[in-house]
Amino acid sequence: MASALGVHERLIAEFPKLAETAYQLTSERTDKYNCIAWAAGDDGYWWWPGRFWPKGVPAAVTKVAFSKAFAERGYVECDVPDLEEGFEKVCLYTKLGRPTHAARQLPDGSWTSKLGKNVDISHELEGLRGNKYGQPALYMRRPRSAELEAQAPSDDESIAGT
Amino acid sequence: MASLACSPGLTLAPFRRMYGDVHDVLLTDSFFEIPQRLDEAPTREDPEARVLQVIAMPNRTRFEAAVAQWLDDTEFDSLPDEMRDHVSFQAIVQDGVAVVPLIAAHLRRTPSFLFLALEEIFGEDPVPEDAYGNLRTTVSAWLRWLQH
Repeated sequence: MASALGVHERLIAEFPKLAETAYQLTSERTDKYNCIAWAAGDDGYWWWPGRFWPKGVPAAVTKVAFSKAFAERGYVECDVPDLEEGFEKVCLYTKLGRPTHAARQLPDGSWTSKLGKNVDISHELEGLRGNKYGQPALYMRRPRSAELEAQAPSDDESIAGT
Repeated sequence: MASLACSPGLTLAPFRRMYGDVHDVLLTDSFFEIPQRLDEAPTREDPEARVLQVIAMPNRTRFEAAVAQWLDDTEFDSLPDEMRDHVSFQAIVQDGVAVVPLIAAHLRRTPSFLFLALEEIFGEDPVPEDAYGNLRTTVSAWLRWLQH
């Protein structure tokens, strides 16, 4: 990436704990999708309550509403972020009780995040803790087989403008 | 006579509030020409360009600074609520219809979540449901709505 140094500097400025933890850039910058979509396995849309959001899920920026949104993708709440054989996990960050960000666990136990309109990274959960996104506040998991069964959201009639 | 254009549905009241006794402002359907005109250096031979600059430059400068700050500070935000809460966004919206042509020009150059300011200013949502979740088609819907 031609501007990789600039990107790293920007990331560290916004998320200082990335400097103390392992992370890698995994995409170019794009505003095609956001963190919620990416955590849910969708790289084609920008998910947000009231617009592009699972039908029947409250259009609210609350932990409960976001939990229900991921539940529509087969996730159930769990206690810890640790890697579990056969399961894929997502983590919801909140700041002052409001959802700010979501990350998805990779098979090696690291996490993948889309950072706003910027890049995707693989990282440790601790790396994004801080003033911007707050802290990890909710973990959910689903069998990895469910990942394969999930339809592409763009073809999924349960995901639409609300 | 200078022609500070104004898109249909907009009024001159905001301009008069900001610039006082402005007489040589016309309503036309070519408001979106202004940013291009402002890039031209005013000359004695082209008094129209000078008048346009006097009328609109201070507003444009402030607008561009606010947008740049807002885009930079919200680069890592995913949810519109966070983008709307930013002080620069609130400043943009507070200028109301006066900055709509600048918003439109900015969106044409660089599609972005600046369309959220149009939602706030007009209290409208002209975006078809099937465009939700897609930034570029959302911006296109807003630009079409502004022109028609």
